[in-house]
Amino acid sequence: MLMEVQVLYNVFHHEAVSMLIAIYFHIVGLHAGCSIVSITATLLGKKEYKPVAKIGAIFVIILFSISPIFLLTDLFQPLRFWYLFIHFNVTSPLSWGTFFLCAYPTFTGIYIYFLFKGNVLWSKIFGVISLPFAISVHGYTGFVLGFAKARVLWNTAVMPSYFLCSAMISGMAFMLIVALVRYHFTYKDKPFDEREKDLEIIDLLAKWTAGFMILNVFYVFSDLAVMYYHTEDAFETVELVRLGKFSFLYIWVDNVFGNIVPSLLIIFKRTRKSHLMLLIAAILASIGVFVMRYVMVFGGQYVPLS
Amino acid sequence: MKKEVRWGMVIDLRRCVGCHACQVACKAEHEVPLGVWRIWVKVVQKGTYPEMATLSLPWDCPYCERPEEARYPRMSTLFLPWLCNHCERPICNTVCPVKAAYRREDGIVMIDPHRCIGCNYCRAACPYNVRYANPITGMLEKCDFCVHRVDAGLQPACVENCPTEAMVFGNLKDPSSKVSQLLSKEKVQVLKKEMATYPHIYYIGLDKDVMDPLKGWERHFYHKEYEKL
Repeated sequence: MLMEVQVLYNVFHHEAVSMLIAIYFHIVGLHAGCSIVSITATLLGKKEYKPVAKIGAIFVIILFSISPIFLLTDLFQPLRFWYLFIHFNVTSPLSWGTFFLCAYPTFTGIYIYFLFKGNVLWSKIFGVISLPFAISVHGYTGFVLGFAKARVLWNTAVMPSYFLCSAMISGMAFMLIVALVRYHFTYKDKPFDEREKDLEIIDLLAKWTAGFMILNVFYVFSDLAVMYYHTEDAFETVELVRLGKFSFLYIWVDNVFGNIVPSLLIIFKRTRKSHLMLLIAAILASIGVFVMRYVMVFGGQYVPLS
Repeated sequence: MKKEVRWGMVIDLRRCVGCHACQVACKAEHEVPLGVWRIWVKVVQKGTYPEMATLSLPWDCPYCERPEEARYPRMSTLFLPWLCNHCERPICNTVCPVKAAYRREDGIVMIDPHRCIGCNYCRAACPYNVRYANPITGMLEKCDFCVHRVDAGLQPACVENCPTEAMVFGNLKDPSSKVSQLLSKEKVQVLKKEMATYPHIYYIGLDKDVMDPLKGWERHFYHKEYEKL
């Protein structure tokens, strides 16, 4: 005997968080990742890391200048965006984000100015100041989803760190692609030891990317595993991303081909030495992170609330 | 001394006949556009079918071929008017970045239309899915207990139009009000208690199958074939 339940009439209002926000999450993660890599390279102070710091800094400027467009166009009242500055709500991560999004380009801008001027001391000082803002500017997006208690896929304590980790992957994978392209266009004109240094940087970037990918897989595992032991909503949601509509994107595209395969390509020395393999790994990782943003935004909203 | 007021509602589902009069009254009162609702009556049918235990997919259902077997007294239809719960701890207020969502002293959760920037965050965070973006004005809206009527000493439109008097609106802090009396006498239930929002819409005779949003949707997740139907 089984009870059959059929919903004859119900209302589902359309999705609250749109594709524009998923793209915004991706771009903000990308430039925060680039920025963190650039600042870390500057703070470490080794001369050979300087090109990495500069490449990162340039992409921070380009990516940051396009990211607010997605945020503003997503608002239903875009001309009222300045209300965010005059009505601060301390319990809302969107309010925090407004101030991070203002403080971050200010300090990072000064840092980039001193970096390109060649002023080591001041670039380090402003690097130290802008590093927490670079972390916060992406960290807050994790809290934005984490505080939305209606959606069980978002409302987890692991969300901010998970988002930061994937931001690092996307930023580093992006910089890896740029470093590989730069190397292949410039290596003929360079003396042997400079080439060696460039290769070392590529190697280092790849290893760090692989490290963050392994951390990401751990976050995914702990998130999904804990959800299995949680409420009914959590159980249905985790089944949705593991077996249901989003399983191909989340499990295969994001985690298997976006995290596990590229990290294996980097871990094995033979494949790591091949630049083509590294390029493939970096591209797979970038696609994986974007798919993860998409699944988080739309998978989270797929489970009905009424 | 000013009388303390905390507006709330008790919905007696034993009296609800699923006429959707509340829904229509609300549409008319607030000129709610097409496709969005401030209040709606969720309708769920449930039944016990002996052969169902052996089934895995919906198209195997024998009742499509023999509908005469799937009928009273083996089934029942449940109604649930679903509206803003005017919570004590509303998450929409907590997350609104411009404080456009606020709670009045009498407990009515409101949206300031002159301040809302339409970021949709409250809509994403509300566990009751009662907020919508007005497709005409682009403003976030939801049930406000017909605040203009309540301030004028009238009842909300849905309560006024309920033919069976299933919806009872009143001051929860007044012991002589009908809502307080129902709350003290009857066994009441709220929606999504686990969300810690402390809602103020109380239901008498609430069934677990109608209050669970996932009931009737489980198959939708697993079987892609189900979507083709």
